[in-house]
Amino acid sequence: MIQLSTFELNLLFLENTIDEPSCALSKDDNDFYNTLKEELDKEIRHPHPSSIESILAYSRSL
Amino acid sequence: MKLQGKIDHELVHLYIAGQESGLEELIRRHKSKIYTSVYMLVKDEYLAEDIFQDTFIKVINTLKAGKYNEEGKFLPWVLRIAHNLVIDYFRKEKRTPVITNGDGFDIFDVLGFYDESIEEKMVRDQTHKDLKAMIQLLPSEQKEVLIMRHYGDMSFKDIAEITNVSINTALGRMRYALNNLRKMMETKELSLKLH
Repeated sequence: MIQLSTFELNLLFLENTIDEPSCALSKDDNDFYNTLKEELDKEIRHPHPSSIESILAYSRSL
Repeated sequence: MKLQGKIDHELVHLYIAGQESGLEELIRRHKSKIYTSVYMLVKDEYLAEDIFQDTFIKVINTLKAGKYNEEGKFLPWVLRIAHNLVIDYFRKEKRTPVITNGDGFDIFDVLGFYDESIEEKMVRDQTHKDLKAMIQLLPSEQKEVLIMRHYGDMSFKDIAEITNVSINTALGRMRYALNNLRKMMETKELSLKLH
């Protein structure tokens, strides 16, 4: 059973009061997102070469 | 024409016609987007490798069986398969990826650092770790939209199709994700020092 702290519960139930948007992200949202991009890109990862070899070997075996 | 110059559906047709190089180029082109999208959801390198391989086995089987009918939308199709495999995994495990931190990283460990010495610890690497942790604390539906959008480079239309919601809902989830990240960063006085 997963136990949640008050802090985590607050995050899960943050008051998402804005309505569903009918247009693109706002300028503020985009500006904020742009500041995140460089940090997010640091998390880009690549599969191990052996995974790709396995996939290609499977394909060739068919 | 070199393979690099071909669009995805041309590579798909090359592969279906028997040229393995078509598949090799598709994998080379999209492997990082697919793998990172999976990894960010499951937070486990080995599991991500397994799901990455299983995804392409399904892709291969579908293509070889002549059942592929989404020409021009190869990446969203593959990401949908990967996404479904991730959901299957969490269903089998009877848990959701909402707050799990597979790498053992806990947001509260980070918060302790802030109290200790905020100026010293706000270096680029730490900022990156903090942001990572905050992303993992997002509700799962918000996290997956952020991941598909950023790492999968997907349109909101494609995200909406994969997650079975309207475009507005997908867009709304992205806004919630950004709002929640902003709130967390403000609460913890975390600022991005990019340069």
